[in-house]
Amino acid sequence: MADVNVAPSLLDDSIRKSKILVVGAGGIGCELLKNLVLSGFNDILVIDLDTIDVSNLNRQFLFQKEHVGKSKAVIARESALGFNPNVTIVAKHDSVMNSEYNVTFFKQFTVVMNALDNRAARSHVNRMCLAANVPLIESGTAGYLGQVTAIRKGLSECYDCNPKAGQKSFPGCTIRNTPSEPIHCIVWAKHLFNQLFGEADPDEDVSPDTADPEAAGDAGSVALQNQASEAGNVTRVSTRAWAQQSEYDPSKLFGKFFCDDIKYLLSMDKLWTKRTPPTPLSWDNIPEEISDQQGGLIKDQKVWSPAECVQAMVSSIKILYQRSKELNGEESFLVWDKDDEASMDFVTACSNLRSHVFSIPKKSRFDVKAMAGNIIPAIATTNAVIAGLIVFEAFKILEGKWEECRHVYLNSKPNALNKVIAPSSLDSANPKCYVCSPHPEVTVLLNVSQMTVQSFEDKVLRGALHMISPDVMVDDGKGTVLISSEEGETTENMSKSLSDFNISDGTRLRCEDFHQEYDLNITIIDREHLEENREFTVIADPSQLQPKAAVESSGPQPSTSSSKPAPSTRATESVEIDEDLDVIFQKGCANDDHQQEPSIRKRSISGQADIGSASKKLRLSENDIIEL
Amino acid sequence: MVAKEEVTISEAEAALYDRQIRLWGLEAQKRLRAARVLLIGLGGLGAEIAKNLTLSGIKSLTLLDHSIAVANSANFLIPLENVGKNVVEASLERVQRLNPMVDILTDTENVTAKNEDFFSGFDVVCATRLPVEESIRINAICRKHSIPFYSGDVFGFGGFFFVDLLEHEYSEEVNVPAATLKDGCTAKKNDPSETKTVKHTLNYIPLQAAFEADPSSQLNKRSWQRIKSHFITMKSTDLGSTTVAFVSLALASLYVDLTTGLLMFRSQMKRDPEAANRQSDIAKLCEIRDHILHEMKLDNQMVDSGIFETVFGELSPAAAVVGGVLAQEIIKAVSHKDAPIRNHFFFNGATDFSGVVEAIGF
Repeated sequence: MADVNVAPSLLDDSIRKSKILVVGAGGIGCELLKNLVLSGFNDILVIDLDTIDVSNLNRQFLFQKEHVGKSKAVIARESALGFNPNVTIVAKHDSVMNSEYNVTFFKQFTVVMNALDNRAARSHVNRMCLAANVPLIESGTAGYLGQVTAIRKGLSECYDCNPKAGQKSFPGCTIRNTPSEPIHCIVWAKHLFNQLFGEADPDEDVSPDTADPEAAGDAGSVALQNQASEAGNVTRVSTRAWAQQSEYDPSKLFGKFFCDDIKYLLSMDKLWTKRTPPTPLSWDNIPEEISDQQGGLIKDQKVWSPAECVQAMVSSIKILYQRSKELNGEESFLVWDKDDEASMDFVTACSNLRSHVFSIPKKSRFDVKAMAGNIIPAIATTNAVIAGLIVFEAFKILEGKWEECRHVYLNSKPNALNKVIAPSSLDSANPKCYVCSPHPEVTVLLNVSQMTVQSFEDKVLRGALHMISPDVMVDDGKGTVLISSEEGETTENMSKSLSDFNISDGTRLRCEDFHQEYDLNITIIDREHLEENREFTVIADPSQLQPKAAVESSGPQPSTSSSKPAPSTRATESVEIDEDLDVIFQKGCANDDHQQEPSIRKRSISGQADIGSASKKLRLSENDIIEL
Repeated sequence: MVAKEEVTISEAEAALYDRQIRLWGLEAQKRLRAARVLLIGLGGLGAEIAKNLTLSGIKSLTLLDHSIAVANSANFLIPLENVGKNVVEASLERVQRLNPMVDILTDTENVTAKNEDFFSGFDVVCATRLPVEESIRINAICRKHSIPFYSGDVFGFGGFFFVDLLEHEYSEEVNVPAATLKDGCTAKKNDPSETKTVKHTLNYIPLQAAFEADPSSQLNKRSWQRIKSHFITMKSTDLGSTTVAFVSLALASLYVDLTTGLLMFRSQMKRDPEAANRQSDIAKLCEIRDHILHEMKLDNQMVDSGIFETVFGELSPAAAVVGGVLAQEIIKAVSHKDAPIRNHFFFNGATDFSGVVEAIGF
């Protein structure tokens, strides 16, 4: 129960009068709710769109086994009330990105506390708090590491001041033609799931890529390509439709993906001059493998033999096909879910069969799940510490002691100052931040004739720039409306390319997200080709854009240059600060050669570059960094 | 030492502990699964430790506390209707609910009545709310039976703990560079996250030795080193005026002398500072402080007595921070994985919001 006598009376008073928003009721959220209730906060709103899973129970201690499947926000509230029934807690089983939670909604809170696990939501809440001028405490954990920081418009940097590294993705040809690592096969298997049962995405084709630049260049492969395009009508049938023809007969599916398609790849002989060629599998002759694995493992940690893979593939296809038959109406596709047994079995089986074909080491279901599902290991203690630190930051904010607010790191080992909990001073806002500066600007490199308006909205504005309901006007003196957030107003624009609207090199677009109260000017740079088949690149500071620099310092290096290894994400070594370009986001392909993407990109603060970045560099090297 | 019986993890446990097995490995989870822990004192800090350890999947947790549950306590495991009962009995149901797979046992006796035989049945002993003399007694018994010992407390906005792991062997993963490609061909590469296991041994000292260590010689030397390195890495603008610099020095010694002062208060007054006696308790703390500083030959002026405003009760976030770090240390010790803290941890949520590790008494 609340121990309200211990804090100095002024603080007690501010606590009692405050209204808190907690975004997320998971690992950090559960601990945070407990701390808030015990500290005397008595007006809390908690929001979470998720339901409880058994894997949450090792740390989300407000939930028990009987709550699995129920709303996190609702159950968290119930359990927290057990610590003090007299507090007011409102629970919303909802997404904080819904239009209902507008700036007026945010303005009612004294402090907003994020307890999230994804960038899109963090970026969104960041903007809403900036617009509402409400202090935000941001936090995150991963394994043994964690961070807490405070964000206040005008007083500190915001969540988007420092560009985050883009999502890792692989070139299509690597996935479709020349995998060399388990992850390539896992990604392929997930794409296969979507092609067969889910929402088919043209970017997720699983068949051999005849347009692979490596395969081209001689009469033989040109002939193959001609063959492929001649058989045009046949090859245009979607994977799903093709599978339907045989009612998802596993032997037919197996035959195509692990035999026929592989033979096709083999015929593209240029691919195999320096690589181990794949070996097609035969349905009638699945190789037996003697298991030499250690005992004492969890069942899921045993690596399946090819025969076991086939078994799992057969049974999971049966289940998934049955499920998709039972769907009707608009929801006619399945969504892959790592916690769904059949979905997970399917991906494990198919990725391992593919690995076998390409002589790549196989992975256990346990490991495949982590890679396919992007699982971040999590424990109770890290979340407990971070949630405690969040409340301490809140105390400072409530007392008006902004100068005492800190960016606090939880390290796995004592740093140079013997600290495992290490505060460092907050950084001031990036004057060129693409969100919180007075006139936000970004530059986007893309191919104006190939990028459709729909893609631009989905992948650039929503995906990369985290807008949720953008309005876009072309700055052409005519006020051409490219995208309208009003339903139906610009539908006919969506399938057209940007160039159809006379958008060309140097065109400026005026983007607005009314909900986020966010205005952004975008300058388009037309590039016919970006490295590694990327669709677009977003650059934060256009004034620093040099054609060559864009190639050299934007994220993962292209394979043609002899490049240095990318900076390590482990911060016990010093983190390299990228003072050239601030690349916000790149969609498309990351080069295989560079497994580790830089996790921190720091801007160069003009005029303060020496002092600012040097001390920051040192500070970064003192602490373990996880990227929020 | 944790029993070396071959422990298996069931499918249900594998599902429940999935996210943590992915962090510390199956071997560590199995060792946890065999660990019997004694937790003495179930206040705010004790509740946090109990929660964290129960969730981690130890074999058993014995809760030992003879005190009665009061209202407005930082122990969130006590439902309102259980106020007035013994504190461990009042908390039992909520602890057990956290993880039905862990045996939760309660003991309402006063710890001072417990003899050597009692402690020898545990793999780890963790004490909270004890007078330092009692901690010293129990630590000595644990030493005799090679049992890792922890003693910690939260006072208001901050807290600390001491740890004695006797002679502790542990392993850690260190990165090795991934193999390079041959002849520039795009052959398969090794798994980039290659690590190798390295073993180390750490020596610890008993609580008595640490508590009686001459602070003036040890601490000042260490404090000066830390303050000096502070000056090197931070510009003076970051620190503000020179008064802040003095405070920094004071803070360094403050960790230890504040904790020592509070423990001395507890021994002399047979209770912790309480809000009902705020003013007189602050006066008493100042008196103790002056005594300690005099022993350390440090200037009286350097320590701001405002800090004593912040040592009352047990603030929930302070218990969460100290309890989180302490419980994780117990997990490390049981699993013999990763370097444990040696031998003190201090956290202050009122002054510099830092969690500091200090080796004292070596």
